[in-house]
Amino acid sequence: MATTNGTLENGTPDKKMPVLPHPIRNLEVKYTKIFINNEWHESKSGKKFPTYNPSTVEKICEVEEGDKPDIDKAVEAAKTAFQRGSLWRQMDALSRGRLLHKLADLMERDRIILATLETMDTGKPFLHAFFIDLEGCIKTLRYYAGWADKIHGRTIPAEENVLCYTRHEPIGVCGAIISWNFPLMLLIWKMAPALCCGNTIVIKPAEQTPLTSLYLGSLIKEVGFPPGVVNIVPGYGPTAGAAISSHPKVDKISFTGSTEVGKLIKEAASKSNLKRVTLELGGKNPCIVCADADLDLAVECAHQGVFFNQGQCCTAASRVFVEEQIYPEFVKRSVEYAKKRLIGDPFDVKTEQGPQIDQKQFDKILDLIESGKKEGAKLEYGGSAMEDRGLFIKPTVFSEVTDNMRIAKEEIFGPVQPIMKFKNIEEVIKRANSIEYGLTAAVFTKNIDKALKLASALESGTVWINCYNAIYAQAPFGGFKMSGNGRELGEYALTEYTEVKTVTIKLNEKDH
Amino acid sequence: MSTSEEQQTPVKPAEGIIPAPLKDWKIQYTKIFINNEWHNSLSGKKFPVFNPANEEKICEVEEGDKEDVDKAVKAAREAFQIGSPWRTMDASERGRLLNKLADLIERDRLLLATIESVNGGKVFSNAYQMDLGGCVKILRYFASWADKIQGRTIPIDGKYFSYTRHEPVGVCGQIIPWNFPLVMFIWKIGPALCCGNTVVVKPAEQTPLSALYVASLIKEAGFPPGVVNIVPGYGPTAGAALSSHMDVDKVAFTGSTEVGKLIKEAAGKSNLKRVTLELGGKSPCIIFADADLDNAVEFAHHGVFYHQGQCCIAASRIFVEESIYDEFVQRSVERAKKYTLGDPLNPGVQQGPQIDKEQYTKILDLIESGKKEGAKLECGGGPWGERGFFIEPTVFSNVTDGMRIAKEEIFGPVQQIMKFKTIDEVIERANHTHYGLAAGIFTKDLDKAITVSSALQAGTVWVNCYSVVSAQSPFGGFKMSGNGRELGEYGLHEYTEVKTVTIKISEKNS
Repeated sequence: MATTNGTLENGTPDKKMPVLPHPIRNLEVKYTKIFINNEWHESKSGKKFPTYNPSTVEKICEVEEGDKPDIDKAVEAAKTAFQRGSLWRQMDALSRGRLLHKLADLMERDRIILATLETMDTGKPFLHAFFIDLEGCIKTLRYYAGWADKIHGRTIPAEENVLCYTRHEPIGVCGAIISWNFPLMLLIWKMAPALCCGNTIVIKPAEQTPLTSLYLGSLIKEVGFPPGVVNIVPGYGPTAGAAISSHPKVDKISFTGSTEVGKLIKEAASKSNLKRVTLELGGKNPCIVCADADLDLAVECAHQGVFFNQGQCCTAASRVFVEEQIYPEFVKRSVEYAKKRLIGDPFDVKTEQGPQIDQKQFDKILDLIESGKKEGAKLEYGGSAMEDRGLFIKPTVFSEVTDNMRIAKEEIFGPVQPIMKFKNIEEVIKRANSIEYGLTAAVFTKNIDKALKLASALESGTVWINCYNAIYAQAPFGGFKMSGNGRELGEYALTEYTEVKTVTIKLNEKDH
Repeated sequence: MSTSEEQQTPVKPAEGIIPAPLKDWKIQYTKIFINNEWHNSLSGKKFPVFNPANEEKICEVEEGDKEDVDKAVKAAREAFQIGSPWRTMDASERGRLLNKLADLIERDRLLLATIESVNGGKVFSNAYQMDLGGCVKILRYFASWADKIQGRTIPIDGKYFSYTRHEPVGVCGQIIPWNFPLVMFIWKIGPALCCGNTVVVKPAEQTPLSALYVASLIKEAGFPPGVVNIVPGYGPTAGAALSSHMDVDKVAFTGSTEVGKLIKEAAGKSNLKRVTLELGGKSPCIIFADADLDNAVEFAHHGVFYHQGQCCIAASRIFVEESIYDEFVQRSVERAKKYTLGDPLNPGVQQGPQIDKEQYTKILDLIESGKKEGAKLECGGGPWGERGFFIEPTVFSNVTDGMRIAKEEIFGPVQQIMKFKTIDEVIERANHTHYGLAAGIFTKDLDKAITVSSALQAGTVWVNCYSVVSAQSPFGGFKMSGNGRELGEYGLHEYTEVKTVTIKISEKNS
């Protein structure tokens, strides 16, 4: 993910410039159908839906539109693949891991194709797709490939004369509903631990961004996963998505998206069959910059933290709290950064910011920007759309923001940075925690006591100290409060994809 | 009368000897417990609590509703603030308090067992030995976990130092059923407090008395005010207030699957609070021809008749391999006939009353359905006695999977015995239900034991035994028998919220 010092790779930059990868111009989209049992199907209804390139606002192609009957078909396939005695259930854990490694190999082989597709479908800069999204995918796959044969139950010293042990079994058929901001990476975040633990899966990619998921289907087949283990049904939320969350034969659902829809999903899970639920939802993440921070570092991290991916991150640093003494300098430097941000064609290697995903998001962001102006925040830079281009918005910086403004409370999901002032630690802790979200937080300070105190006190699933967006496969990620339920990544995700069975065998006292 | 003040030394019975229940004891605690103080309900309302053995009112208890729950949640939230006595307490000290509470429960064991037996219709020797014994063990088990709740340091990519904290979730709402009032209360507060949470407990409206007594011990043990709060009241009012409260971080519920769904829905509709559910079951018991038959008969019998059948794990579908079916039925009927029903306080009584009229009526209705739908009534089959909600121990044979008694949770002293031919058939039939709480297998064959236990969709599988539940082993349901696990190390997971802290460093070494 984005690093602390602006380079795209971790660690110190090479002395010589690396050769940058080039996207494939005029890439042909090969996979546009529903993927079930390792085969390509048309939708039962015959319907298709269009997917667009947000840079040009042109249609890329049409994709088969899955709805409830297609979901039923996919769930049936996933259920069959999960039956006792099936290929997948009988496979050694180590072999499951081998298949995940192989999938990572194929993604590396086709990395440029996938990055090109992702850029076409999302508008994210190609180099970001290549170096960050695809990197995340490959590393996460390999991480979970390694866990497959280390999913340990316990033997337990229970009372009485028994042998007691637990099995960490796969849950069964898992539904995964993916968002459009990191289509391929978030799919891997769900699929890798699910398959690692032996589940089968039915995936519904976001309707805005189905293309990379479908390409992945072809790799799943090429790797040799048994039919029915992975199924992909493109379609819309209220139809295909709802069908999964209320399906009586889906044992678990994992969703990344808005808090509003997350609530509907948990409700549907409850009303149907009490399927297990993992949710990764929205955030309004505080970035706290203390007076003793390394100011350049803080400015840059806060900048990347809110503007990365066109502001379309659940981790967006969308409330920057700066200690009084350094406030004017911080604002000044942040504006300079925003001015330098290059907006343009995502396939251009110099581009840092592409378009927003669609008209709906675009309108919502502009509306929030207007509210900032109306409610009295000081517009330091930007504040409107780019004049001539469809869905591009100028990087926007507001200062003198107060906590009751809409831009300080609502998730913007766009390139808008609200900067507010604070006096002391107790006050900023209270203000940072005063919302119903709790996904991430960042702290910039050199002082050990401040750092650790804030790390304890902030109600967030992840706290970054002197860095931002440091997200890696090894460390758990998820929300406090209404930013989510459960954790993804790390060893912790395995808990979300296993069902514990306790077996207690009575020992015959006479034979001892 | 013997109260906690008069009993200075703990009563330790000799091995196997159970003391007589207390006579002439008084109910001291009938109010709402918030901030270590006793409160009247804000509405002024009270509700009656009954003795199911004679249907007489024991006393009245303050009836908590939404406003009282709000008050309790506020107290719990206050006690959970950063910097509070509870949050700044050493983990080992939390453990010490839980051990102290166990000591006090041991000291007042006789009184608590008496209350539990009278209020819950529980056979006194079971209440004393099993319920109270279980409470003490579980409290001590979680007491010793308190300072062992460990996060991880993580070898993350890049120049970072990354670790996780396993923080308490926050304010936990806990809704307790009436079948094991004190045990279920301890199953909930034990891990919750161990992990540093604060709690608002709503005991079942039928059985609030033992929880309220233990509240006095919680105060005596020295838990800070607001850490444990108890609001007696009804499900649709106080219970619903907890599950949809915007300032409750987690809700844990034990009860019916039907209500469990409402609770999870309310959690989703309100603030996405975390949810643990322990729900119903229709647990299968599979008896193979090579089983030790006496052992199987005995465990299957207790598996379904214990506590008048009012157990979520009740062995309510017994599958017996064809060749031993008749013998099994015969021995099971003999076993069921050897019962003395009566006042659960009296020694020599093996079966007490059902908890209330609603349950009693439902069970009798299901028994009638068994007769109507063609099962063979081997013994029992109707009510018993002139007062109290007593039902005869009932055995049905020739039960088929389509009958109501084979599909619905009865929660009464009714045993269903069905026949099977092959392993694959019985696995399929055993798994053919929305429930998945427990299962039992009786066989001497190693391979059968391991493969069948793997194949059954149940959270706990017993081999050559049944109902073996202990603090160390996780307990919970597959499918619609629940979400999450209680007890064991696994129980801690439900009461912690994981925070990842990642610190940039200038140089990383492995």
